[in-house]
Amino acid sequence: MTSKKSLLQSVSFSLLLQNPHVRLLPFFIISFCIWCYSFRGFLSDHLALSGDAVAYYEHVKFFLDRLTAGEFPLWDPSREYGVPNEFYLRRIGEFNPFWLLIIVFKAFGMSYNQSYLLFLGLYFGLGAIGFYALSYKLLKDHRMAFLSYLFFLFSSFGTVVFKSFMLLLFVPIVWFFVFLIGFIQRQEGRYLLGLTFSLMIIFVTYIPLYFLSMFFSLVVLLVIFYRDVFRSFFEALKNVFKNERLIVYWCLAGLVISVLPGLLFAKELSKGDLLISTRTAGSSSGRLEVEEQSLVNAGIPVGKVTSGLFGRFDQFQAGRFYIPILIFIFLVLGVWVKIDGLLLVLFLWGLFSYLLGLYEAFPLYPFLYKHVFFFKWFRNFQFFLWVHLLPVVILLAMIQFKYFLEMASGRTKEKGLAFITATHVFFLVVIFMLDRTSWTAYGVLVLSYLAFVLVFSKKISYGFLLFFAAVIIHPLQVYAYMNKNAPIKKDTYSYEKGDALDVRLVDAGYQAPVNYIFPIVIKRAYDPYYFGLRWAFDLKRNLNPLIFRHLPNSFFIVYDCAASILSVENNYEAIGRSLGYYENKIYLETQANLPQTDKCSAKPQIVSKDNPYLKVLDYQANKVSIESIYTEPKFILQLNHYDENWKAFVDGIPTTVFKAQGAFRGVYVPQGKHRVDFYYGSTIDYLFKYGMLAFFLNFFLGLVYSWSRKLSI
Amino acid sequence: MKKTIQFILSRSVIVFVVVYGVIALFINSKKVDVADKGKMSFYSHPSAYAPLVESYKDNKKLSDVSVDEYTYYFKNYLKMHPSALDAMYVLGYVYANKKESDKARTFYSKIVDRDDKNIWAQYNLAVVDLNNGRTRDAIRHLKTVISTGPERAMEFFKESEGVLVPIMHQAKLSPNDLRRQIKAIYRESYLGLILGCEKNKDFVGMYEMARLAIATNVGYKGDFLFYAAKAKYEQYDFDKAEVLFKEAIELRKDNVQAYRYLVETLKKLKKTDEATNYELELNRLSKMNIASPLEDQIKIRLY
Repeated sequence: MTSKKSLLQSVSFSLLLQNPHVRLLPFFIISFCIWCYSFRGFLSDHLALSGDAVAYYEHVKFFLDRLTAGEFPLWDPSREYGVPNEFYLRRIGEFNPFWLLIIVFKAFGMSYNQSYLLFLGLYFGLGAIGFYALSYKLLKDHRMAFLSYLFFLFSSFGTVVFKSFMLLLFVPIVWFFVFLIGFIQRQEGRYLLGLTFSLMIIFVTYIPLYFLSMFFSLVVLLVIFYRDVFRSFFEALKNVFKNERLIVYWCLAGLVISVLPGLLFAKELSKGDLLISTRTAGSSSGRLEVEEQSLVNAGIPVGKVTSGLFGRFDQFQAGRFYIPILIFIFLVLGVWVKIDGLLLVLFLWGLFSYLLGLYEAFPLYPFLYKHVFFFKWFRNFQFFLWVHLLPVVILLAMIQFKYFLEMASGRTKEKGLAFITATHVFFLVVIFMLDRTSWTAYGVLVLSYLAFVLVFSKKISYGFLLFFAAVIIHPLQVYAYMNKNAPIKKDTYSYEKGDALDVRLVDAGYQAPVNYIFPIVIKRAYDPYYFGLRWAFDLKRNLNPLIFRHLPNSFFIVYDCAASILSVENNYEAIGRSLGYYENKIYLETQANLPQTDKCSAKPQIVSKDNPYLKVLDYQANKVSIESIYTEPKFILQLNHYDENWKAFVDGIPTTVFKAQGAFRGVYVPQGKHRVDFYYGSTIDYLFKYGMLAFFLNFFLGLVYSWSRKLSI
Repeated sequence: MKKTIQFILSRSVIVFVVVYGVIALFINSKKVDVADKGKMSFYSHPSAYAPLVESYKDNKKLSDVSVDEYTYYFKNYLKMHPSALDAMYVLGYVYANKKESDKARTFYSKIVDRDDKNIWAQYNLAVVDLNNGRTRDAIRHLKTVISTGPERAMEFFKESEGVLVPIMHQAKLSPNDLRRQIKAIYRESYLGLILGCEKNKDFVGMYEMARLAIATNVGYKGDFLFYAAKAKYEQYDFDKAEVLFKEAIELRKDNVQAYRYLVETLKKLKKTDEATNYELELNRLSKMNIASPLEDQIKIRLY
């Protein structure tokens, strides 16, 4: 029995070794190690993250820190005097189970920074493997697919990983298409699970509209050129429904559930209490729609794209558009190969995104903005450059390369070589004429020429080895320049030092600074925050910025006197005076009668660490507990923003949370010893969040299990 | 022949080029060119400011080569952010350097209209007006500068994240450097006011401004003493003028003008011997060709 089992094992192992994908494994490992070496500056935390990558680093850290501390953070008190965290959670797609890898890495003793950067590297690797799988589906040749993978791996998408959040969009999108094609070809439930899970990740990550735009444009092209695809898809769906009905229901449930967070957030935004800067610039009401975009404002920069492709690599910086230069030789091969439906669809698909990115310079975007509702909801079309155009260009070039080799094999070796020689001489002249080109560009030409000669001589494996080298050598030099040019990390990122939830109590004996602030009210039409609450925007837009200088986030201030106001609008002067000069009067937005006292002339109490009357018992993202012992009734203000989802309890009895001083949280506390608890969100909110997290994790594990039983692409 | 044409027209690259060529007819290439040029600056942000800052630091004026690019870029920026005072501020600076005073004036005025306590804009507007003989307007702007506290000036730079913060970053300008520059603005504003009063023959105002500048401690006390003395001289208060000129010379021993006026004052006071002594010193200094370090400083500022 044992010998039979071991025989089976050895047979399956030898079969595994015969699998062409498995045989490429050492090449995958080596190429990824070379990529890691090229990006060692970023991966080792020596070079600084920049652009959106910094904010995403912070969002993820805050989310994971709080999650491991046992709470699902729905409120971020550390940003801009407190904001609902939902927008930041939508940005990162908090239900993506891959984030949990960071917690695993940390459990092995790595620091957060090491874990996060390792995660970025590995997640990028996952995207690159997805691109390999997609290329394999289209090219049906593992060596060509690997070449395609190398083009992607060493394109400048790798730099965007440390500068933007494109990675979070790209990985699920590429895997969606892998699973979709696999599903149509194989008609198996595990593919349906895969494509559904990719969609779920796309839907919970801000913002799925780039994907929808890509997807619907592809659907239109397929309707024109490949109508059969739809028949195959529905046939596959029918088969899976017949054989694996549960999986179809499970996927349907997954899809419905995954759109909920986005829809709920959109509903929340439409209420108008949450503002996103630049989408709502200068406006006091939140809205989903963005203005019709202009090419000067984050369209696809034609000049930048083309200028980054040739020469001046010594000035290379992260974020510059670049694809290993061997791609241009492959693209020129299209002069030789015949067009077909696949090439045309890919070309038109890429062209669609490019033309969209031209905004008003081409009639497509104005038309779609006017007639297709979701084009009113997103902007920054330059992102198509990374998530769409770059992969499409690589696939186009690779398909042309494949067709070229197929054509050449049917003709004489001399004819093929003559064309290749002419092409390489042409590129030799081009490279020679370029401004400040690099010596490795000549190396690419030499390797490429030798590779073609070997392939034409039927030494295909050796030829491809040279092609692999030709893809890699140029980026090695380019990324060496990038490592030199990239800014070195000097400052720590927000949240890097300790916990973001630092209770702000002033030192013992603290004296409030005596300010002379004039004027108190300055009306400015600017966006004080990128994202925040409407009243927070209004307060900052109306008060002298100097007032906020002495109001650190989350301070506790205890007042004796209170005044009720119906709206903030006509009371900025009074509120600004109270905050700026530390007057002992708190302005509460309420119609209720407030208890009066004659102690208004004294200063309010700024709670210090040794304050005997007010102690902070618990301080979390969603919960604040304090204990107060006063002989008189008091009004306690926390310099953290008001939101209707904050609830307060005095000794367990619900009490009103006031919108105090225009935008902050205030509560009335009677005399005597009391415990005051503030809670953010409802039980349903938390159940929903934890339920979603569990659902996504469960779905992912189900996907892994279904693939572990039959691993083949 | 037919076969060759068919062969060529069925090649993928040829098809792509033809399809793109047809579509390109509908692309507004002018808009693409324009946006592309702006985008180049926008995307290399904040290094787009490097030449602006570098040429300013080295030559104290903008490089002629790149000045049009800045104008173009900041105009586009302003289209995107119509209320960006900082973009207006840099545009005012660029036009002032291009000697297009009217345009510079328009941009600085726009800032002042929205935020009249912006001393950077008020000061630069005053310099443009002084250079164009609009002394009365210049005095009005400079009076606003000296009556406004420095906090807002700091805030303007710190809050202008779109334009000025990157410039500060690029120029390695620390808050302390900025404070020094703000102090210089006050000093030069007093100087501008003094010169304006002098031009208007308002010597009482001139003396008052010089006295205020000294009291406010904006530096260059020797120079301001000289202007106070000159105001007294013009009011025929020679006794007071003598004392002040001497104090001015004590603090700045190379002030040729102070020597010249002191000699004249002493002559008016019939102190001939003393006047001769100072005249000898004046002749010695005159040969050294020493320029006034203060008057040269009244010029358009970026920071």
